[in-house]
Amino acid sequence: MLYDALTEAGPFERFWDLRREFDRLFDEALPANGRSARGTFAPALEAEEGDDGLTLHMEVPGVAPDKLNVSIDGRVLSIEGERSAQRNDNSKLHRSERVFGKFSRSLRLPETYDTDAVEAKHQNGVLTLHVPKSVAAKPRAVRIEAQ
Amino acid sequence: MSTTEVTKKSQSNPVQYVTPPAEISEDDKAIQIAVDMPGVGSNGANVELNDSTLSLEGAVESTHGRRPRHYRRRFTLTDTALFDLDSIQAKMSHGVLEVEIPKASKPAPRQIKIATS
Repeated sequence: MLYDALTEAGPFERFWDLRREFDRLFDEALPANGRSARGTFAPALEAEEGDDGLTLHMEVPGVAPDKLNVSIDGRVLSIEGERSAQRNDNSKLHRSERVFGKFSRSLRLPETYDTDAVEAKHQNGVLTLHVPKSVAAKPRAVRIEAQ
Repeated sequence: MSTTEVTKKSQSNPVQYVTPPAEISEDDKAIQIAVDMPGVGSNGANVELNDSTLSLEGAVESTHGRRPRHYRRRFTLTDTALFDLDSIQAKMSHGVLEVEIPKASKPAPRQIKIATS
């Protein structure tokens, strides 16, 4: 059910092509130390479908709420953000397994969801979005009239 | 009785730790470790120093049907004398555990009086 309800907007391969293109543009536009602008990444996204709608969790550790942007265009829900490294200039980096940069995920929501009533919450580095089912899509009992 | 049951259950379901990505940096005063632990609040994080082993753990309670998760990274301080272990500081910031281990300050040189016989 859930996989039918969610599709990445646009072919995925195309996304990576675009990503490379953006990387190249940023590399050209910014000076050599524009490290945070290099490379994008896709944070882990979890989705679950409940009776009342769809709940999405995106892991964005280290990203402040003001660096996140959730928008809806038609039926496409987009989550964009940027994770920047907070290092002071005189510190030496020994090991880094963490990824930084800009990220963007888009999902096309089916008609059965009410895109006008999306709720977003950010807590402990996890962004939680709730998309309720539209009223028309909720199951309802049909009363049988006795004759 | 019920205690035995609990023990058996915990033995058959040992905690599965997830190894989260970490970053280690250093400046003049301290070594900083940052570990991604999305979903962990300050109540769920635990930093423990046992001899020379620094253990960084975080637990995410099961919420909204998400599975509970335990994060753990362990580091060894090869020479504990180099650090001020009593002043280790830790904080959670937007799901990132940040630990700072201050370097031990070098003792000021002491002048030793030469006694005259």
